[in-house]
Amino acid sequence: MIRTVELTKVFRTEEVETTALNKVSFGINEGEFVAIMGPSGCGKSTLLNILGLLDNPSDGQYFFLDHEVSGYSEKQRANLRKRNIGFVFQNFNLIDELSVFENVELPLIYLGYSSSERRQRVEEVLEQMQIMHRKNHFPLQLSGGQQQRVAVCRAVVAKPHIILADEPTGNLDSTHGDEVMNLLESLNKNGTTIIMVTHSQRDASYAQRIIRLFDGQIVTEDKSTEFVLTAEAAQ
Amino acid sequence: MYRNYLISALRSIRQSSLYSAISIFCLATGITGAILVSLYVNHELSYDTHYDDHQRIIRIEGVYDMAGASYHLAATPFPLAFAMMEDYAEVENFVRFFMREEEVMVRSGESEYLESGFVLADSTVFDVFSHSFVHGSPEGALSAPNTIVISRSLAEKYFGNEPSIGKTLRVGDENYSVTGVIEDLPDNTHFRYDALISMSSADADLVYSNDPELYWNININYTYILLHQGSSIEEFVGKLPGFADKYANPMGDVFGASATFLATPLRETHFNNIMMAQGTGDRSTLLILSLVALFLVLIAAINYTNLATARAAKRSREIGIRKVTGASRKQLLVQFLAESMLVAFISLVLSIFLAEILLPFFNTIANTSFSLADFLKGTLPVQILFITVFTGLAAGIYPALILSNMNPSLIVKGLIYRESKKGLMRKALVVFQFAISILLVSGTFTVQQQMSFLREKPLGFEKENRVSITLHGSGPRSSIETLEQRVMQNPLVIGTTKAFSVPGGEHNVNAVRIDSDGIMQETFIAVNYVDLNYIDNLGIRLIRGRYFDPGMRSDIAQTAVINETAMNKFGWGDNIAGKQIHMQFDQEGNPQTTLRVIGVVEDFHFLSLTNPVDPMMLILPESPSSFRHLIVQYEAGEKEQVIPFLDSETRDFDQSRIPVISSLEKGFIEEFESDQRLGKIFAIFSLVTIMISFAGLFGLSSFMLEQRKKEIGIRKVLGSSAGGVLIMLYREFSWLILIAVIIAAPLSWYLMSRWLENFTFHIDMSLVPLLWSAVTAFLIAMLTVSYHSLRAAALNPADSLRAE
Repeated sequence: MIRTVELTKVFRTEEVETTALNKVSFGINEGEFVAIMGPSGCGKSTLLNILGLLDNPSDGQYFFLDHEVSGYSEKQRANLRKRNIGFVFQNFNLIDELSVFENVELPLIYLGYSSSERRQRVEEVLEQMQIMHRKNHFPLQLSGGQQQRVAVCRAVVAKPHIILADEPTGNLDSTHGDEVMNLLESLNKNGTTIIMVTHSQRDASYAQRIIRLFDGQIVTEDKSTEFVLTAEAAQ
Repeated sequence: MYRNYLISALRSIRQSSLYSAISIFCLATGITGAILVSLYVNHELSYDTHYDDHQRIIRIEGVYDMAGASYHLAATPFPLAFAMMEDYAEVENFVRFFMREEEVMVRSGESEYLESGFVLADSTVFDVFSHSFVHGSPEGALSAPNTIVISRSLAEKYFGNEPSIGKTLRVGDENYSVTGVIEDLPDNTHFRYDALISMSSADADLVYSNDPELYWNININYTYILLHQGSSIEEFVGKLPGFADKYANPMGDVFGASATFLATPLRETHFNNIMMAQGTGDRSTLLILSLVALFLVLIAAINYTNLATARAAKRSREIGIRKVTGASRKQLLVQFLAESMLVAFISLVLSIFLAEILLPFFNTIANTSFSLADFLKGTLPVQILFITVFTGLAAGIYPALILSNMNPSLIVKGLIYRESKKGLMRKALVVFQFAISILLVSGTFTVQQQMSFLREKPLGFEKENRVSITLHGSGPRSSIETLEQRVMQNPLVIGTTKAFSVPGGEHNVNAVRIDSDGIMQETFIAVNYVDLNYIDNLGIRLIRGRYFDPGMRSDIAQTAVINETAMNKFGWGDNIAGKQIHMQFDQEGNPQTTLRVIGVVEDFHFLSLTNPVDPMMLILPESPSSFRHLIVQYEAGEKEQVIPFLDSETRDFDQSRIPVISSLEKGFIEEFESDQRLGKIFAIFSLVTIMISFAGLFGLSSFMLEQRKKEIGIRKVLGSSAGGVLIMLYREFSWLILIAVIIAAPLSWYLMSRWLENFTFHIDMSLVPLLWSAVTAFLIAMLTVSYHSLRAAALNPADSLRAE
């Protein structure tokens, strides 16, 4: 489903050149739950941006659903993105001026759904995530956990193939964090591919595989539970 | 989808209410200005279009060349219309208008009124110009002598609800029978009248129509021609040179004058600002006003642009989220344009209220009578819509392009959008706003300076504490001395003098022949018949020779006192001894009158200040009936007592009329009324422009300083004082103003010197208005920026750094 070949991203300012990703190659199959880990500045977010079609690599190839997309224009990427990818962010990224319903509705609007279809789909998802009673509230009136649940609703409402989650529990306490992770896990069980960037070993344990990044390169790639167990055992 | 745009637009407006309020108020002001100007421009461009056949009607004009000078007159000789009708197949019909006096005394029953706009017209007037009749019918309405057709307002004024037809009105010394009542002419009519008197009424006392040959050289009536359907105005005008040669030029040849006749289509007569033209407007004023309105809208739009891009950082998260959830750039572009359109339409609603509130005020300064209903007339609603859409687009296009182009990947991690540090575009827009403000302010200063220059310009005669009583009709004029003696009885009256013309009023110009360096030359000279006190009473200085001597009978009607300009133009140097002026020529070209020049007076402005001082001569007439004005000088400060006294004396003296008493400054003030009005409109628009610019600057400075909190904090941590920070901020804004001054200066200089060229007498261009406007802009800008700068500079750096 996803395959990168020597993916490289270089940021240039007038004087400094920073290599955020250095020849990163890996693949992710449909239905997988993959966690990407690594210290701050290791290139996690850059990788996620490229995987999420928000940014283009400087070099290398990126195959997304068998399309080589590394040279795609913003317009082509936007088109592919809105049909196939849902995003969940650490800081929820809901639009404060829109209600819960309107936030979740957004991807469907851009996909050109009719108003009645939108209503049906949004309510279905809100119901499923048990946040229906809040549909007319605004993000700032909700708790962090509720906001993230709305964000997950928005990510899945258009039934994307992949969900990219960037530190989805980073701003939540452990109870709410677990709640969100369980949501993601159940989505994965229903066939959605999930790629998650995280600092948290606990969250990573939900994944089937972990890709570890350091200084823009993959250092290890392993089955999560086994790796964690052996790593912990080694300490 | 549009509902979603609307919702987020409305909520975004509500969320940043202060900045939205600034944007909306400024845009509303801009749109209001544009609406009012459109109203005015439409009105000006619609002149005379209410006549059914306006596309086939032309006004005939004459151009007279004599002694190297050219005179373009809207009035024509009396026999011209008949001759044209006879000579050209294209002419379907014609009408001539003629005004015997500007103001007439009208009596209806016991009441008397002083009226203007009473015009003699041929009975064909209703065939050429369509009028709608309230009572009576156009057929034969003005055929018989002593018939009159009056406007609806006059009918109501004179007769109330009673039927007007068949009633008698006494106009001057004659009775007229009312044969019709027409609707009042709309404001946008260049030749306006309230009453039409049958031309045949004038047959008895005017020889014009009886003896046409003699009157090809007197231009006192207005001729309008209705061409046949399908005739070309251009082709018709092309045939006119031969016409002048056939009729007018044989007479003109006698004294070296030649005439050419021209025609102006009815629609353009309003803008054809020639001598004796009625109801003239000025195209360049329309252009200036339209430009000013455009500037106003642009400056308001810039405020929106600047505030919207400044808010980009705040909105970057929303934009990122929309992009991540699938919005294309085009969709975001549409969203932001929809937002600016929404703001523009909210502003439109507000501006309609504003326009209604301002309309009476606008009517006063623009001398118009618009009402709210006029907003719906013609294409104005479409224009207003266009103005609004243009405003919305102008305001929204740049922010829409910037905002929709943000890279979503920055936002994902909570990184917010930062514009390029220099913010060049926004600074350029601020500079543009300042430049326009400075341009308008310096323009206003220049206009005001010129106006006060004209008001205070020494005229070469004493105009203070003097009024002139105008007498009509040969009876009162021949016994003017009786009135003079009565007036002199009052101890508050210091002196009097009698004259045919008063300074600033109309003067007769005569063709004369003079001896210049041994060669006889034809030329023009203005003539005024005056009495023995004239130059003493008006304080006019005699610089050569002598004035009329009461002891010398031979001074009467045989001598002339000329002005300095005449002496110089005639090439007489300092010596006027033995100089003669020949005038009033017969068919063979022999002069009937020869005047000896006995003295020279210093130049004074006998014409209004739109004219240079031309050659002029004073003549002592044989009979007092040559005087039309009695100028009365009174004790300073006693005007309140003197005017009622003069009024009652004059009323007593000539009971057939309402006295016309006017100040000697009248002719000098009225001439520049339209410029004064332009000056006022200019002043108001520049004030509004400044207000809008600075409201924008106020909002903008708050954003700019918000973004620089961290920088200011760091500077303070490193040892800068609050004052130091303030000076740094002032310095940055000062640069913007300086650049604006540099841009505005040459433009203002060029435009203002062009404008001043329109005046015969004008101030010299100087840097003062520009400096003043620069200083004004600078001070207001500093004051505006200070509010936020002071707060920013005073912030505790610990707080501002934590905020990051």
